[in-house]
Amino acid sequence: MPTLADFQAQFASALLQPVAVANRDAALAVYRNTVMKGLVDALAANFPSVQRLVGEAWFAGAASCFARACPPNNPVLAWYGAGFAEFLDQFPPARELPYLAEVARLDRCWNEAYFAADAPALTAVELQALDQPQLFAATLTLHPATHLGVFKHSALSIWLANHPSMANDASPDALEISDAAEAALFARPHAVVATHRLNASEYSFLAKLQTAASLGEAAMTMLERDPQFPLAQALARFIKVGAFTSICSCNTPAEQHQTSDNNS
Amino acid sequence: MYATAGLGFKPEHFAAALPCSVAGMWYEIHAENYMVAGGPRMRMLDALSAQHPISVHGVGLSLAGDAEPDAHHLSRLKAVIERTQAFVVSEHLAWCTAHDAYYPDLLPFPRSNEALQRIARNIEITQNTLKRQLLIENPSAYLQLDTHEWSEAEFLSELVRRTGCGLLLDVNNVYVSAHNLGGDATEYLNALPAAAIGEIHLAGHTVDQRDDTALLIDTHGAPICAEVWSLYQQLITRIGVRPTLIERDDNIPAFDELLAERDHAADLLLDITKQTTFQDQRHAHVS
Repeated sequence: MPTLADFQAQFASALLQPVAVANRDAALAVYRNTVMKGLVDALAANFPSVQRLVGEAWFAGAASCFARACPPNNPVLAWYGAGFAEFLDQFPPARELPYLAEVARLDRCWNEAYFAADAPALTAVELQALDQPQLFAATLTLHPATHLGVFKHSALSIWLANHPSMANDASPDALEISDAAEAALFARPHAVVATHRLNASEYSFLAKLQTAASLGEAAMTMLERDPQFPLAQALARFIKVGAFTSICSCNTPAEQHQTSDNNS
Repeated sequence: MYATAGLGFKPEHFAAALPCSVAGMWYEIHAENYMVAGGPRMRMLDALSAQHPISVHGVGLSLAGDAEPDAHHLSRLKAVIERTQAFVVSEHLAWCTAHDAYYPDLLPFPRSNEALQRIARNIEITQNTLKRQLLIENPSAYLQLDTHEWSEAEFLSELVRRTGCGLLLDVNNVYVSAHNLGGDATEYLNALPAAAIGEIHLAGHTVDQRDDTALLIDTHGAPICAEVWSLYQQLITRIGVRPTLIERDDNIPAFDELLAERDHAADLLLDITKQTTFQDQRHAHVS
């Protein structure tokens, strides 16, 4: 009589074996296929733009390689695939598609924005209530759904043409792929995730604010770099898209929001 | 609350499911799909649970795993139950996590005395944390293990006796397992403590033909077959009305098609209610 622990260790290792080994036993193959289908489907749900770019069969091959090496560490599959972009970066069949790992990072950002905690969005009215010195000393807290990143290989343009939320039929072949880096801001102040392109200065400004620098400190850094930077305009845009949840005009550092459960 | 036959909730059916006003309608959700911080999915769940009774069905506790249920997972489960005001909560006689890996399936184990003690303890931990009764679902079986010390029906009955848990009886799983491993579905159903059955699942399966043998696979990807409907009818005739769920997780048809299957189950339950009421009235008249 095997102990429960021995039985499970043995069974679990058989589940992730390659098809040829596991298929010798029809019953074991049922479990194995169910597990693999579950993991590939979860990755397809979490990385829809990657799947659209490479097709279902290629995606299933890559996803099952990843799943065998990195099964999820908990049953909440919405978060599964934390290392999938890095995996694609090293995956030899993806060498021809340098933008693919970046598209996976974009899919991941969108998911994190989609599943993030709800919170109110900061409005311009709240800023108008502060005088100049208060504004200078204030720190802004990003909305829990706000994510920003820089993406190489024209990946943002490619992603925008392929993510299901964009309802865009453009084929990736029609896009000009360059080494250009593009910055994106994902925001979901209410029910819908919106993706916004940022220029390099806007990105630096928001990234600085994200590190809990005061508005004054972030403004000084930007103006030292580029005295022409339209600071007020950039700030107004961030507020308009719902990138912040609150402003703290006191001297204590603002609480940083963490993405909870983001651990698989 | 009045729950007769319900449907497994599919987000793609939300627009039709939300206003559906047939009598006794309820929905079952998979708890793990709603263990996210916020956003549109949680708003959808809030809207649905404001309109309809919700059953929370977990697939990730791994009660038959060789470890206690994960405390973090239990607290997430509790949050989903509280958020939806669930009228019933269920999990499986199976395992799905081992050594920090999650396998999205309901996996088998040898029904040993060791396993019985472990699972009884895990159910107790869960019921104590959730502060409510858990229903345990019988799995579909494919693998013949020669190391069982208990039959599945005896094992489930003993868990009920030891922990006070209830049973979620999946009639399709009983049919599929009886076919795959050899066994009598009716005998199995008769061997369970009727009073402990708190919910029934009905689903379709897929036939995997290999040479001269066929495995039935519990894919939830087809309509419910005639044999399972017949077993269901016999069951409710014997034990009475229970909340009954129609599950479909693959090849998902239009909402109305599932609603028709659901209405069939609701009609069968209504027949039982009428018969019971008629008998009650007759008894009352005689005495």
